[in-house]
Amino acid sequence: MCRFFANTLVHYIKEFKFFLTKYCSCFHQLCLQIISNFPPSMCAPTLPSALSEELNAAARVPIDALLLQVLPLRPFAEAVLQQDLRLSRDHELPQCLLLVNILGQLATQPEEVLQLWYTGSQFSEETPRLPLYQALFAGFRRCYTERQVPVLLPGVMMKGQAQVQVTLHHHVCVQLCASVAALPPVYFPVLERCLVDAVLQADTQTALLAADVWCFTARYGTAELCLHHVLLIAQLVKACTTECYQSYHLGLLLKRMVFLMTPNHQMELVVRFPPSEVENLPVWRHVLLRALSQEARHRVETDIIGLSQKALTDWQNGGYKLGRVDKVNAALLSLLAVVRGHSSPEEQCVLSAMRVITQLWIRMSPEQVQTHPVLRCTLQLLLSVSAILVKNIEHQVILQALLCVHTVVSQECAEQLLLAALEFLCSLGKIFIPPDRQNQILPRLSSLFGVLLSDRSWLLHQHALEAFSQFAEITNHEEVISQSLSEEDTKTKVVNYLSKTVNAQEDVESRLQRLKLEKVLIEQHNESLENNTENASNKVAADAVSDSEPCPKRARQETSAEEYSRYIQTAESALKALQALAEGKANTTVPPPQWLESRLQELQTLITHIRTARHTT
Amino acid sequence: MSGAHLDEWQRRSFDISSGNCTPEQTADAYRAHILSIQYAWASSQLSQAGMASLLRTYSERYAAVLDSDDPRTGLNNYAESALHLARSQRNYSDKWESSLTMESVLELPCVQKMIQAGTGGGGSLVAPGDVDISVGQENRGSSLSAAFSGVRSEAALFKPIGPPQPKTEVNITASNPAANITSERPRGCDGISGNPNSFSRPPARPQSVFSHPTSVPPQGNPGPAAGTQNYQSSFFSTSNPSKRKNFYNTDGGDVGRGQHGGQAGTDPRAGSNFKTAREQFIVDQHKKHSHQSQRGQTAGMAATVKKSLGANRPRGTSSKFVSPVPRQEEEEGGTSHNSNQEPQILDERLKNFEPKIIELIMSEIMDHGPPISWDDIAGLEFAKTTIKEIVVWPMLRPDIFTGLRGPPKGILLFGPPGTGKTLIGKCIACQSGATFFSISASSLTSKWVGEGEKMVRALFAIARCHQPAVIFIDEIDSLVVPADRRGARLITQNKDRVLGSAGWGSHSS
Repeated sequence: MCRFFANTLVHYIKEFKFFLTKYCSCFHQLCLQIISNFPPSMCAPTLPSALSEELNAAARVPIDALLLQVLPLRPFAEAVLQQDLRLSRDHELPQCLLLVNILGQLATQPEEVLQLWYTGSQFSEETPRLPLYQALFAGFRRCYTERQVPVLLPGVMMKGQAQVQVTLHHHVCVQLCASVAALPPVYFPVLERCLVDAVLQADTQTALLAADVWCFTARYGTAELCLHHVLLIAQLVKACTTECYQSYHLGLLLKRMVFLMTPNHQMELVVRFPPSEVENLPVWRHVLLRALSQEARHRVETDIIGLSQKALTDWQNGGYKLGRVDKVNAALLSLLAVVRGHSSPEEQCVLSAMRVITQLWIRMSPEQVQTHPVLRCTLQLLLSVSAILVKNIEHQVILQALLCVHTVVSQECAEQLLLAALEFLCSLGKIFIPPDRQNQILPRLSSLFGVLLSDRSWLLHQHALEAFSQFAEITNHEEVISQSLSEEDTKTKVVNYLSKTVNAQEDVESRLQRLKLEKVLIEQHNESLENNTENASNKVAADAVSDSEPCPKRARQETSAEEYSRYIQTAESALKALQALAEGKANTTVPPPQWLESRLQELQTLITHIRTARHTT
Repeated sequence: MSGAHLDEWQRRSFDISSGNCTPEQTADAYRAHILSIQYAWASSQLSQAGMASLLRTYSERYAAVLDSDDPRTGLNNYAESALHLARSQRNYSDKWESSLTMESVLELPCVQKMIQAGTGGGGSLVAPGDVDISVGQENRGSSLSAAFSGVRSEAALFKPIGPPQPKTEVNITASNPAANITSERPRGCDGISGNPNSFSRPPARPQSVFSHPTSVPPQGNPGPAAGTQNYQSSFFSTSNPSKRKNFYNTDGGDVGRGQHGGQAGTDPRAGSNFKTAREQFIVDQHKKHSHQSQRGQTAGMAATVKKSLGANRPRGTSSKFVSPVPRQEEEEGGTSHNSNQEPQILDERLKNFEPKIIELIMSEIMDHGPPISWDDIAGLEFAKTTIKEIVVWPMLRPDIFTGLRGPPKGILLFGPPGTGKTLIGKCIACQSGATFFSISASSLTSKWVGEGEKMVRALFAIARCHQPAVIFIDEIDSLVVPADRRGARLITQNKDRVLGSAGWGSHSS
């Protein structure tokens, strides 16, 4: 029955589609409604699976046919791609799926349909519509709950493999990549812009999706294109001076893209953004050095280490002033990137790095770390670097580090510091502490673990568990383990973790409710992030306005001589045209209009005026 | 609430660490991790900097899964599925041009927003009054002072190891003789590690040919073998428009060679790995020959699947050396399962044939041309549905069509000229993703004794190497002409061979 009605509808639309343009938004709503009533939509009624599959097929096939009919219609595109689409919560996933479906169908469509969907509105008189890619990213962003559940969709059917269920991210990513793979060059600029847009918006997973698609594009396109994109991203990273979500997203994209470059393009990146200059350090701290070719990597390492040593000596010569610690921090951050890129710790640059951080550790004192936030950043960076170089570090320095961490941990402190501390503590499992130091180091180690394991924040707790179990696996000092677990509560948690017992899963319904609440929160958060920046920009603009009343007009760029020559040329050409006209008319006995004489007279006086003005000034 | 998050997180991390989930599941788990981190940030359970540090860690791991082309641990950017979906469409990627420039990108509204946001914040962490405080007092508690003297002596101990003055290191470049000592070691490592790489690369070569069939000449390269660095650079600039994989190729060979050429006299450590230019050339030639056949094959398949992804640099510790076999399978999307065999096997099967014949078949018979879809064939509905059912479906889902449901070995298309027999044959090859051999039966006959038979034999042998394959024999009636004309014996032999092997023929009357 359902199939019959659907097919009838499709046939009617096929016959009369040019009379139905007014109702395109109804078609849109219809599609959404239909999709929302079938799985994977979450508001779909639960039916026996055989029945639901049959119904699904009966409804889906006509939808595809319907879409094929209405795709070329401009009003339909405008309805689907409108900005600020207001959707009920149940229609968010359907909208996303509909867009994906359209994306898949576009491949076989003629040029003008592609133009309609891919480019978005280009002239202000058109009804505004988004480019399809942008609309898709926006739609994906709205489906927080579905991403979190996660909703499963049928994957791509491929030769001989059974069809698997995939998550929404996977599904959208595959479809986007497939569409990119067949993208005509005309629409590539649109894709680029949409990708930049999506990477720079607040939702992390959407940015991740955009990064996935971008990496695919980079691998699919030419090497030059990849280089160009990396240079652009690097420039954006450089332009983004503060820590904000945009810089995180750009950083993770840059990191992935550098892996996809050819070795000599990597060299070009090094040349364009030389790591020997301080203002380029923000770029290099995002790059994983193991992505680079030997040559490029060596150059970057030498430059950055040189730079950090210079920062350190400058700081030393300036008398270790607190006001200049931020420069040291910036250098350390890049040094961390260098050290992270290393697999074998005995190389030359590691030794230089060791020298730098040993000198810094000497200057760290627990009391000052407690009072000055900027030193806490230094401490965090030092901990991260030391965690990697732990095998080369003197035991004395370890003790010093533990002392610092201990004072900081005893009061409220930032998570990133605790995370770095955990990293460091975990790495201590790799080394053997000589007996004469054991009584100094081991008790501190176990008390720190004890404190961190009982942390209330669940993320930290989890990381503490991970770090502790890793430490326990490799360490030689078993007594630390037992001493860390002095508290009964902590002990049970650790034991549970190690035996991989997980609490019973919460039931589906309450989880769904929770996720819906979370969604509201995340949306608010994202909006506030984006509005913050808008406010900031408004504020900047407002500041500018209040500073200097109305904006002064821009000074004219042209020199006056140029202007004179321009106008005189215009006048000359007009007069010559007039002359030609008058002479031509004279031959053909048609008299020139009456007013010509008087107007010429006026011109004459005007010219005299200009002359006199010239003389008087 | 946070308890629920913790439980979910733990469940996922146990899944990841258990090591028996597919890369898809791993990627999904990392995504969910990232989503949780975002939520923790949104609900202010986590500070922004903490979020940044966690996000960095987990996005790195996620990227290692997603961008890696190792079939066991990586997803290869979903290339397999995506290219499968886009298989019958044209690839324009070599014509893509970025419209963004350094200036215009800064004018995009979203970028503007970011920069303005940047100028808004950025206060110093140090209170103005504290600026002059000196960090780390010299006089400390007695318990610590001893410790510090220890550290200091230790720091002094480090100094002689590096160059004498730390400051000079800023200026060290490759040209600085002092730095040569430092730079040699990584290069030595490269030489050693470079070797397996250079072996892993050549098999990948056909793929790049594959994606840009027109632009890439065979990159066998250079007898004169790049003794010096500047030759190398000029070489790169000429091959610039080609694909990255090629870069990796030529690079793998050339850089290695250039280095050894340059360092041969000075660096004994690289000696174990040193090859003369001539040796390298021989190796290259050898590889080139052994790949000849394979390259031809891929060029042929370009008709069906012109898509492959560019290269990916190994991801340090997270990537292992990938043997060429699974990797190709990954990237070509098993369109040619058996063609992925090692070149040696290919050689063994084909070594009984004259290279000339093989080359002929490769270049002329394997079909090139634009992909064709079923929609391109007008009418012939019954023929199309029948063929889909008995040819294309079994090729796409060989697991279902087994035993009695197994596909037939041959089809005879017959009809007057110009009714779409050849087109249908091409379409079969396109849509089933098979290698397509198109041959006219008249070209199988030859006036020389045994020549025609050899051709047929070679054709089937090559097709066997490039399974799944469609052999399309046009004008098959020329093989079955009445036996009283010329060379009846030969023709009969050919006929037997053709009919005995699997294949589809077309019969024009």
